[in-house]
Amino acid sequence: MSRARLAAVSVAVAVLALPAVALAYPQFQLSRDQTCTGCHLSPAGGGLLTENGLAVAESSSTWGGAPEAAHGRLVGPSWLTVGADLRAAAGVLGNQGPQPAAFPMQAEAEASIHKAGFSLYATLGIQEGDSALKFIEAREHYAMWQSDATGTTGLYVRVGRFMPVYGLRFAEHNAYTRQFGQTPLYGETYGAAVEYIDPRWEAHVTGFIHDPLQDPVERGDGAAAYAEVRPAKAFALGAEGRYASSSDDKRTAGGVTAKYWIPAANLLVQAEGQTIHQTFAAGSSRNQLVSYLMASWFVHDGWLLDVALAQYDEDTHVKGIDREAVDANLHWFANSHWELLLTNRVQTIGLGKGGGTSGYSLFQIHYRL
Amino acid sequence: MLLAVAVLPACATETTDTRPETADYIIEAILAPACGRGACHSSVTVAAGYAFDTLDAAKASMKKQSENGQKLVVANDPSHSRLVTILSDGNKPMPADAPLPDADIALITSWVAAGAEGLP
Repeated sequence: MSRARLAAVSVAVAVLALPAVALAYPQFQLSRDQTCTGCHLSPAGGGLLTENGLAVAESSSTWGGAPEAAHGRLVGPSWLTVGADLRAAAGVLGNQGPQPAAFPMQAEAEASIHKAGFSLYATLGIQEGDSALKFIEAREHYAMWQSDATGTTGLYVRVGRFMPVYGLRFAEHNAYTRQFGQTPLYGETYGAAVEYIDPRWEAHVTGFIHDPLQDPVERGDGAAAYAEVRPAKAFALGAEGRYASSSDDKRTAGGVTAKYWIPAANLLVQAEGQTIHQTFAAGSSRNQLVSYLMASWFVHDGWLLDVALAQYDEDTHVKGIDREAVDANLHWFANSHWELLLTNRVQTIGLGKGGGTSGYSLFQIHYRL
Repeated sequence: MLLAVAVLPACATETTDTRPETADYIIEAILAPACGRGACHSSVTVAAGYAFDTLDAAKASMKKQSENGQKLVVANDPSHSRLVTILSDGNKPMPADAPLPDADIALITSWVAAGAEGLP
């Protein structure tokens, strides 16, 4: 393979595989804790872990070990929490045949300063870019107030740059409801959010504007809302709505989510369906549908198998342009800090009648400092 | 169940392809989401010198030549437009991870063949 070809494939795979640090493992909600804040400092989930989150990281892995930053060797003041995530991947992907690829995915550091219910949270990382200025990215940075300074429930208010909460927040940004939905990679915006977290329900409302400083993926300004009720410990039902308006288009989106935990089988089933009405500045419009259904089986200590069905229709009025995919991801949380992950996808278009079939198989290494 | 809820209405409303053959539509509805996201041909990374995430960036990119000297868009001549040929290139197809639907490729081809309306 020529260097140019390898570079092109690597760039494409980077898009395919780069995770978003602000997003988490919704597989752990209901199966391990009722809320995202049970394990994460952020009310959206993802990123730095709480004490309980650290304990879950240890107990959910095969070999455990000190889960704190730098394996417990980095001891700081109680008002400071730090962390970092590193990821790399290698494997094959294919549009008209498999192509080898290997690439770095993520190098981000995170810090939170917190005192008496007030906190400052920041993520600094590197990304591919065509200039030195674009090389450094400050993906998330926000100020937050929470009503229960020492707890994990209650009212949260955030102002700054973050991903507006919307639907299931999968770590893998190429999950269809993220890739083709409203939380794409680098989709963080500046905004203000009011969020309430309770074991029985939660709600998030965010007003946002696109980033005027860093080149944004979300170029619109608008609002997003997500609410979830948990009438039983093993069951959650959510609803979502979002509007964004940019100089190029206007998008009105809505959807539903559901989760069901079957403890006897160590199985979590979760699903999301979104509909998106998009009106273009040139005058035309389209309706899109995207959905994702995932079953996650906690096979054994540290082992998690996801199998998912995905569907995306980029225009419901046009025949043969819908995409379907089967995903299979095998996670091994070897210890409190290391995760090995094998991700696989087979995708068809129009059930094989609307275009070429493609897929990938990528092996990832993820280290959480 | 959600998949069924999503797929069934889609099948029920599908008709023939009447999407507009214009630069704006093709960029916003096809190229931006399929090629212009994240670390590929976005205005952040500008992979291979092209960005397709906005109308302005995509139109500017379409005026450029590819690495083999072929123009991205040659009005009225899809067989010499790299934007068209690379979508089904036997050696180096794009997008690298997954192809576009045939109907999208046909729309782009037809747009170029009809004169690439909307490109300055």
